Amino acid sequence: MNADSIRQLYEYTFALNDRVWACIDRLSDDQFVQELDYSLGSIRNQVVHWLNVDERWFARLRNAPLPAIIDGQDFPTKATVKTRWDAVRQDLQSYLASLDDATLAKPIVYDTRRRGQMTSDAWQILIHVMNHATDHRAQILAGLHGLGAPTLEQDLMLYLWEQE
Amino acid sequence: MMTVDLIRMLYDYNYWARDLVWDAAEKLSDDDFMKNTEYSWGSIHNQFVMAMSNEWVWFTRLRGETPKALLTPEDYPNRDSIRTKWREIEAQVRGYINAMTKDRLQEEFTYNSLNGNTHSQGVGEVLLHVVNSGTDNRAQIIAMMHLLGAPTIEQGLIFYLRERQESG
Repeated sequence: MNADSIRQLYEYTFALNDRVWACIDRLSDDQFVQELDYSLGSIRNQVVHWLNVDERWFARLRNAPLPAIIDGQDFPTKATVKTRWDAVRQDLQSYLASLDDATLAKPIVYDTRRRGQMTSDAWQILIHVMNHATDHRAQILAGLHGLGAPTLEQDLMLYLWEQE
Repeated sequence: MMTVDLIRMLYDYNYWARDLVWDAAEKLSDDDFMKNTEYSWGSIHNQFVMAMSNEWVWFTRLRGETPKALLTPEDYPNRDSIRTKWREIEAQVRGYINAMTKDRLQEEFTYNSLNGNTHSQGVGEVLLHVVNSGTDNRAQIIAMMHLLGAPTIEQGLIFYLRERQESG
C-alpha cells in the first residue's frame, strides 16, 4: 500500500460522504434528531459516532492526545454537526496531503477499552476508517430510507465509472 | 500502488465478516429470511444473493468471461443453496487471490458491464470494489435483521485485525 493509493481511496470516501450529506440535508432538523429504532438511534447520533471514531483514529495516527468524546445532545441541528464534520475532514485532508510511504508503514500503539494495548500499522487504520465510513453510510442510508428521504448507491465502481 | 498482502488481508476480512453475518442470519426463521423489508433489495434472502452475485460477476470477469446477468434469488431459493454456491465462489476467489502477483495487481483489464458498456479498470481497483461492496451489503443486511428483531453483529475491520493480532 502506498500513500497515493490511500489518497485515491479517500477521494472516493470524501465524495460519497458529501453525497450522503446532501441526502441528510433534505431532512428537517427534527428528522435529523428523531429517534430511530436502529443502531445508534437518530441520523444525528450516527454521524456524531462516526465523527468521534474518526477524530480518535486521527489523533492516534498523529500521536496526539485523544479528544474528548462528543455527545450528540450538544449538536441539536444539522448545521452544528456539519461545522464539526468539515473541521475534521479538513484535518484529515491535511494529514493525507503530507502522508508518505514511510509514515504509512509505521506501527501505531494505542489503548482500547476491551482489549488493552493494541498495535496497528498506520495503513491498517486508514483502511479501517474508510471501511467504517462505508458501513456507516449504509446504516445512515437505511435510516434515511426509513424517514422517506432520498438515498443513493455508494458503490466504489460506480464512482470509478464516473471518473472515466 | 497497493500490495498483494493488503488485498489478501482484505479478502480474509471479507469472509470473516461474511461468516459473522451469515451465522446471525442462520438463526432467522425461514419466514423472516424471505420477508420483504421494503428496503434495498427487499428481503435478507435477496440481499445475500445480491452480495454473492457481486463477487461472482467480478471474479467471472477477472477470469476473462462476460457474465450476461446477475445470479437471481429464484436460482438460490434458500439458505442451503446460497451456502453451497457461495462456498464454491469463495474457493475460486481465494484461489485467485492466493495466486495474485504484484504485476497482475497493477494491470488494466477491459470488460463489458451488464448493460453492454465497455470499461477499463485496474485489477486492484476491482478487487477493492468487491470488498467495499461486501461491507455495504452486510451493513444493509444487518439493518434488515434489526428491523426483524434479530440479534446483529459488528463488522468493523479493526475487530478482525485485533482478533488476528491476538491469535498471533
